Order: sequence, then C-alpha cells, then structure tokens
Amino acid sequence: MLCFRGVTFSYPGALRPALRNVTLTLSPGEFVVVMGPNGSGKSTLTRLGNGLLVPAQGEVTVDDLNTKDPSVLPRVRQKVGLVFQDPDNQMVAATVEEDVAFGPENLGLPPEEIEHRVEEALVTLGIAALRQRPPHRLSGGQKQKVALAGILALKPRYILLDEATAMLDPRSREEVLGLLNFLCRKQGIGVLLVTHLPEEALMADKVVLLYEGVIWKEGTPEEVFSRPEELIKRGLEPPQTVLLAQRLARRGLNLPYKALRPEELAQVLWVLARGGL
Amino acid sequence: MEILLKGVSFSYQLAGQDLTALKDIDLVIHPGEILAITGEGGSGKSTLAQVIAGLLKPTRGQVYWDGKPLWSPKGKRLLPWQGKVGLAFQQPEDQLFAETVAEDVAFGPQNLGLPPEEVEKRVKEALKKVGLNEEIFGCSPFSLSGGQKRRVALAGILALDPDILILDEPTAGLDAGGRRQVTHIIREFHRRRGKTVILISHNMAEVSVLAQRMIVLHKGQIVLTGTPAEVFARGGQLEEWGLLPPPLTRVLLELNRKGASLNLAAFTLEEVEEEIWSWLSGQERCICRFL
Repeated sequence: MLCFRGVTFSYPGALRPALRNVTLTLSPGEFVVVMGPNGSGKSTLTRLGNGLLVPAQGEVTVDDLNTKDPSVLPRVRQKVGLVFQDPDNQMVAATVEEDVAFGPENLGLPPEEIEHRVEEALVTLGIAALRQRPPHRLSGGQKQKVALAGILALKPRYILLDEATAMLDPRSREEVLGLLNFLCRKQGIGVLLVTHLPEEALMADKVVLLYEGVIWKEGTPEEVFSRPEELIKRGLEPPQTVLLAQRLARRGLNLPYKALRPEELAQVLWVLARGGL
Repeated sequence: MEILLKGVSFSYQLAGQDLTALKDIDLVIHPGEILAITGEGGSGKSTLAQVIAGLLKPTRGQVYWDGKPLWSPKGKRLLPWQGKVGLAFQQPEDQLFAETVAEDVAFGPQNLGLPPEEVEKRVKEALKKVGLNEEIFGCSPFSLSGGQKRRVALAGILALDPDILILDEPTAGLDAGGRRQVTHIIREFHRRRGKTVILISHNMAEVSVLAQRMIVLHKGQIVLTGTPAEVFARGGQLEEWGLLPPPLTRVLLELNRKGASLNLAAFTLEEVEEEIWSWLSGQERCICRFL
C-alpha cells in the first residue's frame, strides 16, 4: 500500500503549507482520483508519493519503504511511477523504444530482460508499431502512452498521474483512461489520477477533494458529487451527467445511482423507460 | 475586420516530404462574431489559426483582411500586422519571459511603438480585465499559479487591443474556477468591444457556451459548419470525425442508438433534461408517467 500519514509539506518561502496533515492510502488495484483547484496541493501530493519530495511532518510509505530514507528511494521509484502533464518534458531518447528502455537500463537489468520488458510495455499500450518513431513526432496522446510504457517497463505497483490527460484531445484522453483502467483492474496496479476534469472521476473507486492543502471530502464518486454547491464554492464542478441525473431524480425518477458515465446513464434511463429497475 | 480565406491549403515540409495540414479551405469570419473551430488532434486547427492570423503563408489560396490580400504572388506579406490580430497559442503562459508581470504585458504595446503613457494605461486596463490586482504587477510571472499565468498571458494579448482575438485551447489545463474566469474574460471582451473572437478547441462542450458558430475540421478540411445546436445534432458523425461529443449529447446519442428519437440539438443541461423527461413521460411502461 502507498500511504500518506499525517503529511505536511511546505515549499521554501511559501506563506502556507502546500499540504497539511494529509492522510490517504492507495492500494494495488485501486483507482483513486484526486481533484482540487489550482494551488490545492495535488501536484505536491504526487511528488511526495514517489519520493521526489519528502514531508516535513508525517510520513509517506510505499509497501513499508519510508521515503525519508534516502537509501530506499531507488526502490520507491521503481514501485511508484509518475507521469507528468506535459509529455514533452518526459521524453529523453531518440526513439520510442529507447525511451521506454531508459528506466530498465537504469535499474541495471540484463539486456534480454530489458528487451522483454520494453516489448511487453509497448504491446500492452498498443504502441508497438511506433517503436522506431522519434517521440517528438508523436501526437500528445501517443506521447503519454510512451511515458506510461516507460513506467510499465519498471513493473510498478503504483502509477501516479499529475494531470496527464489535461493537454490531450478527448479521444486520446479516453484511450489513456481506458488503458489506466485496464492496468488497474486487470494488472492490479494502484492508479492515482490527478485531474481537473470531473468526468474522469466517474471511473474511480475513491475520489479525494483537496482544498488549500487539506482533504475536505473523500468517498465514492456518488458521495463526493452529491452536493454540487459545495464543490462549486471550492472551485470545482461535478460531471454534467451527475447534474443531469440529480435533476431527473428531483422530478421523482428513481435512479439507483447517479454518478454514471454518459453511456451508463443512457442504459439506466433506457431500462427505466421500459419499466425496469 | 472581416477575414476571408479562399481556396487555402497549407503543407508543412518535414524531412523532404509534404505534410498537408489544410486543404481547400473557404471561410468567412464576420466582424464581431464568436467562432469556434473544433476537430480532433492533428485536424489542422492550430495551423488554420496561424493562417488566419497571418503567421503562416498558405501554400495555395489567399487570405484577405477587410477585402485586401495578405500575401503577394511571390509570398511577400502585403499588410502590416499592427496588432490587428492577437493570437494566444496553447499554454500561452509558456511564452511569459519578462522579470515582472507588468513588463511582460507591456511588451506587445511597446513593440507597436506606442508612447509610454499609453503603454502603461493599456497594461493596467488589460490586467484589470483579466481580474488581476495591482499587487502582482511587480511580481515575477513565474511565481504565479498556473491560472494566474494564463491570465497574464491573455492580458498581454488584450493590451494590443486587437480587432480579432484568436485563442488556441484557452482553457486547457485550467481548473473549474480558471475555466470560468477565462470564459468570462472572453465573453466580456466580446460584449464590451464587439470584436471578433475565434476559439480553437477540441472541448466542444466548453466552446459551445460562447460560440455563435462552430466549424468542424477533419483531416484539414471543413466538414461541418453551423450553430452549436446544429453541430451537435450531427453527434454520430462527430464521432466518425474523431471527436467526442459533449457528455450530455452522448447520453442522447446512446439513447437514440437504442431506439429513442431524441433531439440531438438539445445540448444545455436544461434542454437535455427536458428532452429526456418528455421522452420518458411518453413511454408507456415508465414509472415517471405516474409521477
């Protein structure tokens, strides 16, 4: 488990802590979405999660490895992959294949193992055909898949994504989210996704809302989005389908669950129209 | 200012090969309208924005500003820029460079050769329009939050007082509050000055609340043009063109795929709610008939 226990962190010269007394867990196979307005501490959380930053108070442990211990940081970073918002900032090599191999090479793995891991990562993410392409020639969505492949090749237990879909067009975003869902549900990787886009929270097991460095709400998507006015006051907005479902429910429609993706909501409405549920 | 594109094509040269980004574009942009240009990644939106702004010369065809051609047959630019068209690229905060916010915003007006008093006036007005108070004028742009940087970058464009404002993915990467602020800035710029705004975005839901007209690009060509309602009414085709319709339109689309006949032109929350409720009320077995 990736655990944040009572974590407080401040940047030098900042007027207030970026995170205050944050306690949060991410289990393997769990999908957690973190949302909050700019400056709420989301990015800081991800950087603490893989040991790029170390808490001033409290602790971050990754399967019992404490990120305050410098000697375990290489193992922490192998277990916890981090994908940033701008894929261009993460490409280091001349070809996709070399870029994905970069991490395993730095682990000192034998060449055959590196080759095997690179192949597996490229195939899992559906980008094997791009292996010889220069990363800078790829689309935004393709670049993020390469970044993910580079992390997968390290065989992580957890993947943290800091607004990694923000710059992607909707189709690419759906593809990347679909892949994350697959990695989480089928490969048992714990995924923590930081996003501004409320629709992305609908696939989460747990949604965590940050405001001024503090967790002010946490729960399932349905629980977290149940009171839209609270979210709007704190610079957030619920998914459009949740607002629609809430409006239909206020008219008396018995919707068993309101935090649904568009196609799911359509299915529920169709069944209701047929007298079901 | 009216902008006309006639038979415009544009190709990039990459490693000795032609990469066609725009093909036979005919487009009129009317003075004072808010036009949204949408399309999947790689459809040519950003290239089109730069051709409209006069930053890229078409490989074929011509661009006219108020009826006057922008380019000579030999490729020489015929009309001066003079700040007529303000273009904010994606993530405009990446273009911030000065030591202070005020200096960054002043850069554009200074390069227009305006007198210092006028530059100062424009800087203050522009920063006020984007909702930034005087306390941060002397701050380094790099000390600001992402949303604040975006607003400083927009202020730098507004300080040029352009006739046409072109914004490429203006809300990408911003939180809900930031998106609302930028939408408000755009709306106010249009309302107060009656100037033309062109929004380039693959987020159709967001631009539809502002745009009077939308254009859909696919593989460098205009495939659809109309009001937001008219564009969303072609929801199924939008998917074929690589676009993801807004979430509420997708609910209607999916219901239609199952056999409903809902009006896809409904796209606001209120309209979609009414459309679905009317449909449900008309279903014999639906419990809502008895509510």
